[in-house]
Amino acid sequence: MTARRKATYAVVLVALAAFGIWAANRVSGLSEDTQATNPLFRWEYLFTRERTPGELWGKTRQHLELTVVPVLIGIVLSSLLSALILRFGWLRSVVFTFAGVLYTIPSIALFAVLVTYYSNETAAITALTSYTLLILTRNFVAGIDAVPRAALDAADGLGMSRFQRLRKVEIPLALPVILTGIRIATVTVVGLVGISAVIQLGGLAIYIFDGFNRDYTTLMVLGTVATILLAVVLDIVLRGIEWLATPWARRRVAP
Amino acid sequence: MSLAALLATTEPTNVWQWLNDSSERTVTGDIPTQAWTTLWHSVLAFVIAAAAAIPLAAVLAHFRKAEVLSTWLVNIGRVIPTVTIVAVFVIISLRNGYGFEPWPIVFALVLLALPPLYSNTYTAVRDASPEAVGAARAMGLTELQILRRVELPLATPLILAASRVAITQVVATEALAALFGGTGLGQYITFGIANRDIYEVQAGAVLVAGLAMSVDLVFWFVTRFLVPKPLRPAPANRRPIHRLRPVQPINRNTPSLGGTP
Amino acid sequence: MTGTAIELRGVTKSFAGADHPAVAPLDLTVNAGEITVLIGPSGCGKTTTLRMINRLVNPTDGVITIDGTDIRQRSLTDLRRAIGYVIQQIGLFPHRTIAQNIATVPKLLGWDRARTNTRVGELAELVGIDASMLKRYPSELSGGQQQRVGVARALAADPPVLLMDEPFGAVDPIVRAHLQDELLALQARVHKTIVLVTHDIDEAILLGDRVVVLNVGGILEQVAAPDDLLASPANGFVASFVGNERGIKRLSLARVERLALDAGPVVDRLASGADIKAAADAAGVDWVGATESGRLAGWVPVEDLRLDAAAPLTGTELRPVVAQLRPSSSLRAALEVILTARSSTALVADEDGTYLGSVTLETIRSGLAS
Repeated sequence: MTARRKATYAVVLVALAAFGIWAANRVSGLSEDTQATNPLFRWEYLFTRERTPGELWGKTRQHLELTVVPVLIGIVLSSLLSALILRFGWLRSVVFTFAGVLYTIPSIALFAVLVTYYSNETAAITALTSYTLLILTRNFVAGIDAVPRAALDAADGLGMSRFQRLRKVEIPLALPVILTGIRIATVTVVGLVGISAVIQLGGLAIYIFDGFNRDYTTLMVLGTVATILLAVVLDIVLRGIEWLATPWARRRVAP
Repeated sequence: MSLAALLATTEPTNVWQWLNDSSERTVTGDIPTQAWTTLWHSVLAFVIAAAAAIPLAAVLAHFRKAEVLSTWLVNIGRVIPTVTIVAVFVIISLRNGYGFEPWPIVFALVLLALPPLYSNTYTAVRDASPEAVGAARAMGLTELQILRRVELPLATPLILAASRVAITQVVATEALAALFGGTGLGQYITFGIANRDIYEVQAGAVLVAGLAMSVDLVFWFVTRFLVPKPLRPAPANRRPIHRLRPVQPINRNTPSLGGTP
Repeated sequence: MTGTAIELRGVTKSFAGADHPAVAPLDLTVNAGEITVLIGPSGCGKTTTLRMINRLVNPTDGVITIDGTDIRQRSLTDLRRAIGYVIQQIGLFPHRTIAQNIATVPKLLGWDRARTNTRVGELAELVGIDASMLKRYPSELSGGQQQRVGVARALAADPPVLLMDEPFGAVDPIVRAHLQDELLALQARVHKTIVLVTHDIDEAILLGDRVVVLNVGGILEQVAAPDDLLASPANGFVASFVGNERGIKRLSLARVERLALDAGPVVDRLASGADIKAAADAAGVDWVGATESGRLAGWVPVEDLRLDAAAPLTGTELRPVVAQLRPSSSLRAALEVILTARSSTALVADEDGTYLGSVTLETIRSGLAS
């Protein structure tokens, strides 16, 4: 790590620490009685109001549910689709065109139509799953395509069965691209969950609309920051998983 | 609509009847007006974003500067949920007493369209046939001439493809304006949900999706028309499954999908 | 452990939709413990034939036996685990360390960890990979090192047969030459049955104990030891494939020891002036070499000697012989020496320095002609 980078980290850490101390100080002085004419953000709402942590956690859970479930279903469906495409090459353009069209449909429209036939949750999950299909299938197929042919030939020649080759060579080498696809799909869905507010769901983004309707900017700010934070945290966590899963890609390449 | 009015008129029994019966839209406004609102918000946002992003990306790519910015923009644009961008502008607008229309939504849409336009233009110009660029330089063209006469024409197919993706997303996202009380086709959806009028909801959805797809189609035509045959990107699905050399993970000829629908 | 013999009888391969078979019915015997090289132009089916041996390609007709057993009688994976396979693009697994790559087949066979680790260490030493490299990933190694690992991986389970498909094609010429020499040294230690495919005739001649020349469509044109191939190509195709410099290529294969050496302009140190003059004249040169007790001591220009003295060579200072050869030197080296030395004659002495004879261009030419 260069000296410059160390200095940057040090400065950032000091700034964060200072902010933390100031914030703690500020928060400890809060009480429910403070009067404020509608400031941009009433800190009291976040720190002293009793119901807030529970509500916050409830909405986070809902947001996570609405993210994780579609992505998981999407992974299962995309794995199937990818396996079919790899087996029947002609399916490739069909599947990608179909998934592409699904992706183009505005989310708000898809939510709206589906909710007239199904319950809110089902509609949301169905719509969100369909958006993951294009991203995941594209990356799954590209990942398997990217495995070097020489490694596969060597695996065959050394005496691996088809299944062993899949397990030991193809999937591990396709994993980086696959994991990237899962990360992109997850982050995309987190963003889309907010739009499901139109059908009374919305996860953390519901704060935004609540606040808007009640002319209470504190809620809007809370919703905005919380949603962004959730998306960023998930992105970082998934990048971390990618990094952990691919030790060989981290090393420096020989000249 | 009041109960009396509801009972007085013939109720539509499906989406098409709703669309045909203009009396349904006395509250929410007629379709052409709403569609036009959505369209001009989108086009304006796209034009601003394109005017900002494309030249900047092209110049920076030519001089090979700020490479990381491109990746960062895409990552940030992908992670930050669209709703929050709109919300931020709404908050600002509310605090300062501006009305909702049209600036918050247009600014938000501009920010939405920037990352894909910037990063795809950057990649397209950067990767434009290095051999042709080298030959042009050797022939004595100035840097700006090379950009204008060699790199940009070669990059045009990708830039157009990225534009197509960007503007489609912008149109689709414009409907979010209605969630904040704005006008546009999204209003049919929000109104329909508020009044439990399923046909209005469906109609709104059909209209929004329809407009998005039409814009997509129009741009597809424009691309086909403007791009000479030799430069058309090779279709990704013709490659055999196994090749001797490893394949680049993401097909460079498909613009990266930034933002959300 | 020595290798086993491979037999191909009536082996042919046709691909669907092609007019002609890729490999016409082929009868070939690969001798145990030898390096057999398959060579030919593009489309001659050499790679296809190689891949039929480990059933990566299945013959349309014909039988292939290894050590007398039909290869179809064993299960596919068992067969392949008993055959080493090295390919041009190397094909190391990028996501596994070098040690894990080498240990692939032992793991498949269920060896325990201790035995595997020992074997990996042995092989690393055998192919010249430093032990510190074992924990690295393939992307951190150079092309030459990667291919060495490829060979180690192929030999891990000590298979009797080794198949190599243009194994040194992907590396630069300097590294390729090293790898070729190392393969020969390796073979001297392990004596596997090696079938090697190449399109480089020089590589075939250098490495092969026997060379199989194939024509397009898998037609067998000639099977012979390299020197015979060069000396007597079976037909015009083989002759043109081998190239126009057959004679010069043969020079690399033959050694000085097989030549009929002349006595040369060399006399004992105690020789008389008359003998000295006679020897120099007979060889047509203006210098003589001197031996002491049979050992080559040096040389001196005749004009520096006082021929009327009793033993002109005693007491004179001798110059060291630069144009000197060993019996094991190749004829190519002999030619090189003759061309670059001041004289047209090179002197041969063995390791002790015992003088054996002299070599001239004529000696070389008549030696090849025989």
